[in-house]
Amino acid sequence: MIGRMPVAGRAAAARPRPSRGWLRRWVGLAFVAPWLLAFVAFDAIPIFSGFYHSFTDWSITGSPTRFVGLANYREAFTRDPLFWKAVTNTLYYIGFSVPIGIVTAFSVALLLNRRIRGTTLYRTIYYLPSVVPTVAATIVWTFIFETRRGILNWVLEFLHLPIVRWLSDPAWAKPALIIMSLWGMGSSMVIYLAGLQGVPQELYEAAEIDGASGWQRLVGVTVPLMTPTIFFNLMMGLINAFQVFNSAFIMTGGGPFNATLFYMLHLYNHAFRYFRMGYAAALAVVLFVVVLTLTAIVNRTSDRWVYYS
Amino acid sequence: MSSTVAEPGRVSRRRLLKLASMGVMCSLVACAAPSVTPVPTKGPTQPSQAQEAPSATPVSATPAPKEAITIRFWNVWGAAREELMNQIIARFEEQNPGIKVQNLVQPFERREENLLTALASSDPPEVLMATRAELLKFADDGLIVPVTEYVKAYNLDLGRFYDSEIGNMWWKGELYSMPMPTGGGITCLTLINQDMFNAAGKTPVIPKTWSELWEVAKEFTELDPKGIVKIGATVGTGASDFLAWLYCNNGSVYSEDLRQVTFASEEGIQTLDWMVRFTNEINGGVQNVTDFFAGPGEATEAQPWYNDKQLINFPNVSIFFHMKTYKPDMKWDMGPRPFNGANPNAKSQGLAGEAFAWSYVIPKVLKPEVRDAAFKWVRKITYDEDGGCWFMQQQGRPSPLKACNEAQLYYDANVHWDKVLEALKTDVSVQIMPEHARVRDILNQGVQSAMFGEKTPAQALQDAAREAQAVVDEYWSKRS
Repeated sequence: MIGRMPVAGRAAAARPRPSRGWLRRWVGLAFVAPWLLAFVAFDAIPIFSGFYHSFTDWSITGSPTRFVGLANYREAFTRDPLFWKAVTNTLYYIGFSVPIGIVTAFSVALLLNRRIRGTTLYRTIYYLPSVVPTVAATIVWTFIFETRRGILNWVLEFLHLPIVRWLSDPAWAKPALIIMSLWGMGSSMVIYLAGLQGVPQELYEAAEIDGASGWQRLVGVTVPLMTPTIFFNLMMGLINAFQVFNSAFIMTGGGPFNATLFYMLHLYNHAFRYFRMGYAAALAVVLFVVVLTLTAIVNRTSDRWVYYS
Repeated sequence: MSSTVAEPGRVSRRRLLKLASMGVMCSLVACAAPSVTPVPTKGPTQPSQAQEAPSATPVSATPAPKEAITIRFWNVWGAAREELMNQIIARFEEQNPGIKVQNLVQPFERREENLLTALASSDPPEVLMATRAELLKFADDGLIVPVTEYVKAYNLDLGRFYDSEIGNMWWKGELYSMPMPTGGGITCLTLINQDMFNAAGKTPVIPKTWSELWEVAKEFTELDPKGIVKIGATVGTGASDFLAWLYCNNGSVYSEDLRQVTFASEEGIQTLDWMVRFTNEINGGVQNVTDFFAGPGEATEAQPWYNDKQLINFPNVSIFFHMKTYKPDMKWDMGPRPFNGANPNAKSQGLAGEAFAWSYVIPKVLKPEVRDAAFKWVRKITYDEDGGCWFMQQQGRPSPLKACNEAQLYYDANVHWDKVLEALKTDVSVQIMPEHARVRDILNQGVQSAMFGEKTPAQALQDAAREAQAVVDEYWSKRS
């Protein structure tokens, strides 16, 4: 075929032509370019910029920015009286809201996985709250938590239990927000539900033949096979709980007496109320490092308790 | 057969990439377009006769734009006020055919965040509603333009404003806005519910001193195991309440040169000690007070004041609008805020400009002709009778313009209007600094720690003062 080509054509054929692999790479890159550009513009650059600004006294409002070295970090760890308060509050919130959230969502998913009449309706009902905007949900919960007329205290009174000052007592404000966080469990419940439907039926049958009780089937079959889903929800729960903000911002403003001053709220105050973006950036970097470390630890330990087969 | 030539009717890969690149380029060019989009107008480009012509030359000396300028007006005048503002805009646009105003009401809960990021951007709204503390910060950092020259150019008479009100808008010898509504009228009022006095068979009393307030509040407050059933009065539990009472005890928040915090003075400690005792002994503690007023804010009819469950109230002037809405038949009376009768130097005083004191700022990055248009709008909503004055009158709340408050319609709508004006006269313009928000939050920590019994009032204020002083020193060290 080449022998029949004109001279010019032969010269062209002799030049190295771009391989199909090269083209495929470029076309592939062109397709991912929108995401990549958005990632660089809205994630990578802000992350590096935040890291850089954490070493400055940048205020965003235009006053001259100075390089202050580690001063912002020193201030956070040694001089800011509310930093440790915010850290403690956030750890308390994570320590309770994440495990309680996992257990509750998993339990509800187990119930909704049973073949009973109206399952679809129940699933919708349990999922609905997670699509309600936080602001609206927060206002509803403000009424629920009211000391004198709130539904929760009405239930406690009905059960002859002492009433609780949910939002005015520093000891109860955090538990109140933890209870409220369960309101949005619908999304993780749906994930559990999907996971439960992927558990092979023959394993249950085999366990039943071996005489396993319902509890034994749950512990020996369901839970082990659900560990990848639990692991995913644990990771997402941890990351979200570290960034808890809206409920405290709208409902309590960090009170009473700083009981709900969470880390993100503290960061927000410095950034947008005091215009101390440099210091806020340092707080964000600390949070980033902590979340990254914790995620890595959980990831590392997952070999011991997550079953993928 | 592979070919680089596109089949007829099909687009080649190269051509596709070329088109995509052109699309991206066009998008980028569109993004980089000027911030103010000119809007073609149907009317004339010169100001109409209805608009009062400025008596001096325009400040920017730029020719009048041929196309309309759009003023994006960020504000928090939501709910019923939005429609009132739209009416002012309609009048303004009629008077200024070359200018269009977009009324952009912002959600209050994210106001600070939005304001700051917008102002720091290269394309901020042309006029933004900001508190006095924010105005000082932005002015100090050179983000907004002073309007002193505009005021001179248009021969505006600043004497039309109350001194305490226009005084709040200055920073380092330059005027940065004009006020609307009053920055005062926030803490100077004491309202009593006469219906509650009458129901109890008592003669209505407007307490003038702290001890009178104590006696009346104690007599009327009812507690049960769940907390407060009816409240005589609350003296508040946070920094803003503390400052209001501090000024009625001859105290202050800063020294005159703004270099020292002074709230931990003898008067300050006395004030906080009285507040803590009042809250504990009469209202049964800070938690009772928080629970009693829990809910979605003072502007709702569920609040105790509108339900004969609160005898004495220390509201701001917006209460008249809400009372007209929620309980128009309520019998009430009013006087100035009680002062510490045990301190011979103390008197009733209201705070003007310590909190809120709304202003309307113009970003520095605007083009001169847009700045001119922005100032015209600022003038309309602050200085003009058919603008800011009318807006306040419709809400029954006082204007920072003295003459505006003399309108008969105020007296018709509010039987105690003369007392409102008397109370407003007790307002003092509180000197604050650009770091005031931070100082205020530190003070709030101190007040709360005393209220929750973690520290004594003296210890709480001294600790807060030490911390706040460090903030003040840091600010001045950067400016030296």
